[in-house]
Amino acid sequence: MNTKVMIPVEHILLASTACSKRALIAEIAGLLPALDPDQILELIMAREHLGSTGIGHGVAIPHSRMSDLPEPVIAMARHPEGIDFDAIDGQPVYIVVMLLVPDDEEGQHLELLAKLARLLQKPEFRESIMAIDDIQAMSDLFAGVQLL
Amino acid sequence: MNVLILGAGEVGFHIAQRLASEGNDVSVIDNDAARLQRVADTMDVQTVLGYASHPTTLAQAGAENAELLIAATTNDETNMLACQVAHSLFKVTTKMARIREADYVNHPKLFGRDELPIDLIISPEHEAAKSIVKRFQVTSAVDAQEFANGKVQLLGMRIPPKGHLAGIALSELHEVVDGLRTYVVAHEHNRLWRVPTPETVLLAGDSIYLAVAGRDVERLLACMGSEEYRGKSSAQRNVLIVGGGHVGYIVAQQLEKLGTSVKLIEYNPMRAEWLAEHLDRTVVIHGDALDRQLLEEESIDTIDDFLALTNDDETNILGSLIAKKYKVGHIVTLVNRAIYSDLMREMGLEITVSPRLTTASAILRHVRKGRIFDLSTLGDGTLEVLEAEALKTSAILNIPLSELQLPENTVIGAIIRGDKVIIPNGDSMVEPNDHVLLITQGTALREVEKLFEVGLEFF
Repeated sequence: MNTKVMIPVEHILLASTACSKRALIAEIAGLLPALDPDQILELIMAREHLGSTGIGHGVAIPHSRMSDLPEPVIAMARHPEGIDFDAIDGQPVYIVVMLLVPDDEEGQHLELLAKLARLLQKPEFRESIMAIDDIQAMSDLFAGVQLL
Repeated sequence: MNVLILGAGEVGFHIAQRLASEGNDVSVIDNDAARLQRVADTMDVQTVLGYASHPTTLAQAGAENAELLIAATTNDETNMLACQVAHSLFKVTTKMARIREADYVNHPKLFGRDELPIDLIISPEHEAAKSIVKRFQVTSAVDAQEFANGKVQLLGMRIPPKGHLAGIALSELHEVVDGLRTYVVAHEHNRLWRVPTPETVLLAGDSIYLAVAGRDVERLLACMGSEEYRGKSSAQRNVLIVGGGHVGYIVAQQLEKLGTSVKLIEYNPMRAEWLAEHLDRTVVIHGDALDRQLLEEESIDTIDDFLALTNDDETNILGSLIAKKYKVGHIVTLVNRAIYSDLMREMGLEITVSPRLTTASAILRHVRKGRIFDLSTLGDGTLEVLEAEALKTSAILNIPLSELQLPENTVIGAIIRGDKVIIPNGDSMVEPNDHVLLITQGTALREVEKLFEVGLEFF
């Protein structure tokens, strides 16, 4: 199954200036005003408490289920200085892609998460993300890849 | 993790020290410059002088980045208000408040996401009282701690000179206990607490903790064979409580429920009167607990349990020493200040309860990563017990314990699977959603946490 990663431009933050993991997640949650940013912050932090989603190489994929969500929602932020995300390799995180999924369909969400993780593990893709200086280009970059 | 601690008193100080030593970014707020200076001199944390509930003070302390706020000032209202401010203005993820006044705590409707946003209410007096009553129920042991709603107990006891346990190695223990499933999870010899190995030999005078299923406790104590371990049941015991403050009152209340006959000595006449009105069957005596004539009038030599629970450490220690002179079998001493806790054993007082330590454990349990249900200390506090749920995708799952790479000085004392208690051996495996009771040296806690952390694919 081929999936596209659609990140609308308004869900993209190119240069976060947050000073902590929590503040960064609050910023990304703030990109989704229609979805109750406070609740997103709580859900994501609760999941992070069970184990960090910082997968190494400066990438984190915080995620959570959320009830009353019609379809998966993705938002992302870039932090040029890097931030302590409690990642598994202990390194700062520069790229944060947040994934919120509806309360059902276990298998599909896992697949989407796994595909995102595989994509972000490619060094050339991470380099492209860091090189972009425009939100439309960022949205296009994600839309242009076929997730395998 | 960014942590804000409000109040640099005994509890705040202890928690700040603990969290800072584990590499967290800690800020401590207090309005007393001298107390704050003591914190700044002792540990690597940020200190902010000011009123804990004021938005500017909280902002200055970095509330915007904080994941956890621990409101531990001596003022209930400040603590509650600080949680509200931290929630409404700074969206701090987890908020804990120390609340003493039972009148607040008894109204759970006050608290919640849309009410007073406090995730955990901590009452040092309640925690201390709870731990006193808990161990009272197994008075024959020196210490007893319940886990998983009583499905598992850790019994702490001394090895008596002529008991069946003196001189045996742990690998031979099963013969003494008649095949009963039990596991020695902690061992003290010459005042040094360790997690034992199968080769460890128990000597008279050593102390141990045994993990045992709640339903097997009586049988286990019976197997130990020594008279010392055969206590009277709660209802037959005569208890003398000294001090009718928060802790004394709660303990007396709980003991009444167990059917124990309780006498309580209170120094303050007004408080004594109040206690007499509010307690049902407890005999309240107005007087000085250090008055030997009074103690003899109350026939202290026939008392089974002496609980020194005033809010004055010195009175508690002296009272306990007097009780010891009258050969009271079971003496519990409440001690607030850290400096005394270290001295207690030197003075021959074995059982101390420290509101500071019990409260700190209650808080730290919620700081740990993963789904932790209980965290408390054993012995002199160097060993910790952790009850955690093994969630799907965590590293601890589906590996026989003999092959599982546990951190050093760490053992799994019990696995709780639904209603079943498994006292494990090398072939046992942890399955998803099991509760695991694990004993470790405090320094290895971070590594232990990793065993329970979920993988990326956990939703």
